[in-house]
Amino acid sequence: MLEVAGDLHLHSCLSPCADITMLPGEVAGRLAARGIRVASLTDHNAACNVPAFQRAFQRAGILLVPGMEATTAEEVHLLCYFETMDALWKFSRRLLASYPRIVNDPERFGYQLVCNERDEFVGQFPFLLSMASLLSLEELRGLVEQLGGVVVPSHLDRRYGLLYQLGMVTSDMEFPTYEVAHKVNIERIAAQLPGHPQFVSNSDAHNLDSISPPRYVFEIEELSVHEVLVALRHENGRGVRLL
Amino acid sequence: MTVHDVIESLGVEVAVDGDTTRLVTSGYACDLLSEVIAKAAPGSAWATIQTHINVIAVAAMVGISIVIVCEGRTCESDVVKRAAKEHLTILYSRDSAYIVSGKLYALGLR
Repeated sequence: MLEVAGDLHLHSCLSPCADITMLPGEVAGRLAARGIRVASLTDHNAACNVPAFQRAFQRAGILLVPGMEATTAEEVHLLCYFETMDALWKFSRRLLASYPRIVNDPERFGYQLVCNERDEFVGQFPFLLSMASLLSLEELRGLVEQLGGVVVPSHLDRRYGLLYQLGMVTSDMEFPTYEVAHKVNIERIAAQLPGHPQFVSNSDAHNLDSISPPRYVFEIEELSVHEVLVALRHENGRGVRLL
Repeated sequence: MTVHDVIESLGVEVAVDGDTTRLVTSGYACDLLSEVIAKAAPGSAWATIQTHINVIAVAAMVGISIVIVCEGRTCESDVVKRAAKEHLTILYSRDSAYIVSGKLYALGLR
């Protein structure tokens, strides 16, 4: 088995709450310096910057997992990962179709900048991306899984996390992997969950200085998006190991 | 005051009858379910816009007497079924949680 350090929760300048310095080349440089070899750009409810990041990551020798952090109707944040860019685009279109079109006021909510692989700004996303979609948690999860993707509920130990918004996780809605913001909270969180899930802890970086040293490694057979998704499903002996 | 009395006074749509003889002793308004678990009192009439199935689980856990779903929102059939199984009363109101809370307060629920 290979052991590969991952960080599957990063925001770019597209997320209104993220710093405008979160650009492909800058982020790739920081990740490479930290020894991260698998990473995902997970902006709120949009994927416009993923292609630029994919090319920058590739140049830095980092594998990009196509992803997004989607907001359910219950205001639960879910990390959604896909095997291909095509699946991510399909998901992105479905999400946008179910999304309230509130025109963003950048001075109030923050800029939502689209960039290219040379770290240049090329446009702005018009609709506010920090809104909740109209899809319920179950609908959103169904959509991701129908497209062959995997859902990892974001930061269970803080606001917009599944436990915080919905109070509990019942046995008919459990997930194989959950994210916690802080590893010290895992024992407390695990006691509130059904089954025996695994945990990841990502940087959830909104600025360059928050890109942290690896907190976990994937235990996979080879460095591919497919293997990473199998590890997130905790299947076939693949999984994650916290550091 | 019983669940039946609250239904009569508010004049709202009844989605699930539940046990209408239950006592209602206070009110609560919140959409964050973790907060409801921590703060709501047993016997409450709870005004919310959340319609996720966990609303029923949380209500049962806390001992909520009535759930009032606000803003004209409605629950999916699985949520309605679960509420019926728990004998929990679900009401649908077109009003906001603020207006519903005011009406509950005016009924004497504190």
